[in-house]
Amino acid sequence: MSRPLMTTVAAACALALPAAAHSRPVTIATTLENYGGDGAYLAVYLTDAQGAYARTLWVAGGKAKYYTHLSGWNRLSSGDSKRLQGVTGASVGQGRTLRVTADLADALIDAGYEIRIDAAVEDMRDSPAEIRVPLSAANAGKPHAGRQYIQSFSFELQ
Amino acid sequence: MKTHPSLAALFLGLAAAPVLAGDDCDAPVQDWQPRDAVMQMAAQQGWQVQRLKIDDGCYEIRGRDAQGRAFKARLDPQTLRIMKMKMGDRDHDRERYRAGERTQGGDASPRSGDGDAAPPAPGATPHGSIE
Repeated sequence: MSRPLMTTVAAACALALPAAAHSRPVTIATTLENYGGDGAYLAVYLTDAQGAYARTLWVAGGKAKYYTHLSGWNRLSSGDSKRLQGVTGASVGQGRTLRVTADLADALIDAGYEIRIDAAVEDMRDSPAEIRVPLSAANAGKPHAGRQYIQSFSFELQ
Repeated sequence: MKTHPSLAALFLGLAAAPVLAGDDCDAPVQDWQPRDAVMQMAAQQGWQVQRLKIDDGCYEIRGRDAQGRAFKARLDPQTLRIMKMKMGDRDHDRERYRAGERTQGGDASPRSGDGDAAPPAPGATPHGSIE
């Protein structure tokens, strides 16, 4: 291999590796109770240390007319025109587990950010911010119970 | 002719039903943004528009997003707000449907419900699956 080409490859690696190290995959598992109703709409999102909206990680449930029932997320994320881009899926049936894998910047971990989940089920009571768990390394792997529809919630940092 | 009150209530109920149905848009035509504005908004989002049509009183776009993934989006014709967005290829969906791979709820994007939870490459968009 010629010297200029090797230099270019080495420079590219040096630039790419730190960029790759700045984020890590996070897997969020949410298991629902057997609450005796239709599939639940869930919004999984991040808020910063001040409680301001940071990013939507997943929205389970495809009909926009029901998003008003995910009231915390709907209110906080209303200014984000890309909040639904590539992050929507089916509603989650009772007793089932939603597993969301997202890539999060290292700077978000142990920096006061929270993972929040709003939940809503047709003809049942809405449950905004049913889960509020700080995004910290110490919380990783620990199960948390919800108030109404969520039996358990945990996240893993890889 | 004397109308029975319960019959009148039934007719009124039937007349009101279409108003309550679906994800329809109800912006008056004079308030609609022109198609050019929709195309401009799509360009700002980095979308490649393959088809722009009107469905149930809303604009509906089929195309590919900035990452090259196929999608279908429904826009409010007055504000151009995204009301609904489904990711995935229509033909791919049809094949999955034929193969009997119906996902729970019927409104899943093809990225959802496929059971695997492989970590994404850095910079990838989130991935959800139901178990």
